[in-house]
Amino acid sequence: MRRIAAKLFNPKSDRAGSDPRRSRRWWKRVALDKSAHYTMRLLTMATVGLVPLIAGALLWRAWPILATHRLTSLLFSQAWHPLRGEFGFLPFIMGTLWVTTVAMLLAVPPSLLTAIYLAEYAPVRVQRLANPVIDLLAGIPSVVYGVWGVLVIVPLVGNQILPFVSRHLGALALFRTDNPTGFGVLAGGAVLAVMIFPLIIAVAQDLIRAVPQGLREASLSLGATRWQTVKHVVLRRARAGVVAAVVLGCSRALGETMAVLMVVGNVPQIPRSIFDAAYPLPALIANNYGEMMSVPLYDAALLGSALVLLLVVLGFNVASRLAVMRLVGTN
Amino acid sequence: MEATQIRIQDLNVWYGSQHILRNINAAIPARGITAIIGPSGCGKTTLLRSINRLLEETEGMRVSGQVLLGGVDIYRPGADVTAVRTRIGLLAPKPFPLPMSIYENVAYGPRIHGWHSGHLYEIVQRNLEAAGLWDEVKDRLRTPASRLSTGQQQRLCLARALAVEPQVLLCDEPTSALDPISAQGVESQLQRLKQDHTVVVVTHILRQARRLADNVMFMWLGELVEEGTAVQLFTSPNDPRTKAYLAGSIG
Repeated sequence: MRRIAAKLFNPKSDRAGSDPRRSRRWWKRVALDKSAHYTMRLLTMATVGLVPLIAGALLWRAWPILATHRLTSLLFSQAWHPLRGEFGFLPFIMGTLWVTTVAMLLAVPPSLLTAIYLAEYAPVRVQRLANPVIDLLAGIPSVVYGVWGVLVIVPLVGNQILPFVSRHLGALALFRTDNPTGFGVLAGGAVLAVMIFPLIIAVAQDLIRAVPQGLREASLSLGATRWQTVKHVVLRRARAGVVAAVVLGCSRALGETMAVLMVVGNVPQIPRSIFDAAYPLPALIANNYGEMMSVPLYDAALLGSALVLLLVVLGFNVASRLAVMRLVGTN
Repeated sequence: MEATQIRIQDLNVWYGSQHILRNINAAIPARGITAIIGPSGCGKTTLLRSINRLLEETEGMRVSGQVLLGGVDIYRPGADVTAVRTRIGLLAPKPFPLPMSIYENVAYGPRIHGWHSGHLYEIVQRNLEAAGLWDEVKDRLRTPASRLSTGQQQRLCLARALAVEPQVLLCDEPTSALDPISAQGVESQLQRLKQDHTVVVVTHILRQARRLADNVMFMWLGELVEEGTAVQLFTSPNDPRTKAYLAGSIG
């Protein structure tokens, strides 16, 4: 070791300048270093550039409909009659919001509690067992969740949950429906919830773990219980991270297409109850793009709805980033 | 010497298969400052953290033996860990202010125990005064504790620990992250606290032990080599290892 060091730092053995072979190698090293730098920079810029590129392409293809219809009528009209030239996105926007809201209500509490358990309570043995299985959930293809939803969730909703709820809570508009099939907002939300579990658990767990151990010990050594420590100290410190985890799950839920489209009913209406069928934006695009393209403006309308979806997700991400920044700032 | 506050009997600690503390037997007298000295990695901190059962927060730690606080074993089955930790406070080497305001940091302990919320302000004031921080922060009690300097944060942690009225205060190298002036501030607060608290200080700074300690425990490679009053141990140590360490020839 010492001999190598001596060789490295001995000025006599360093003949980079005088030895032509060394110097050729030196040039090669510098060239490689520089080209690696610029290649990586180019790739990074290309990735960043994709977002405006996609948004621009969508805007360009959606332009015919934006030019002929008022934005307010596109966004806030319920009428979706392509053959009559009426394109109101509101049922689809509301469908997306309903399904996502139900999914978040179902997913956030259990996945945060799971994350807290795994980060704060579980012995290493349990963590080593649970985390790979949870990661596996994230790797299951969307279409498999869809099939599972059709085979299990939809009959469960239609045959068990709907009769039970309407018997006991039927007076509430939220639970009243004339759609007995089980295909609808609740089924879509439930399937989505299971799909975003692993994401929220993984991100929230990592960020809870990042809270310094000394903070936990400070609280524990005052005689706090573990739950008090988690609630008042760990979660307070990890607040921004938990928000970020939830938002990440939400963005995923907003854009998820396949599994939702298979169980949500796909009726272009504004849902009034969790049992009503809905038609979220991604399902609209996936079901219809490539068909009925002879209808004037239909293609532009679908791409317009894609643009709306993109803007909703973008707006969501920006808002959450601001929220996280504010939370971090006050800490 | 006064009555024994903490008696440690046949304490052994393993981390995995590693035997970190070997057959520790010691008596820590009530009130006054007891310093645990020794080189890094000799088990000082482990011994300290076994006294308020914080060791078990690290997975893989195994403890056997007894630690008697006022004659009662804190490791007995069914012992209430939170009660143990309420009676035995801890000051960590680095200040860890809780993510809340200065006021809330001190009020945190009394709050979680559900104590007299009506008198919280008085409790906060009294303990900030005891930690020598009151005059510096009385006008900004609601600002986040993280805005304080490191030295102020450490005194805040001291006030926070005192607010649950512990009998024993464990200090793990309490000045190691501080500049000399802040360190002096903390030391002088400890000097005052020893009037009515039992203070145990882990330090690897011999000069600090000489300044502070009434009693000294010297540890070497997981063993308690020697304990005694500061005067006796520093002037006429019995064990050759203690002599060598004090002379600076080992450790």
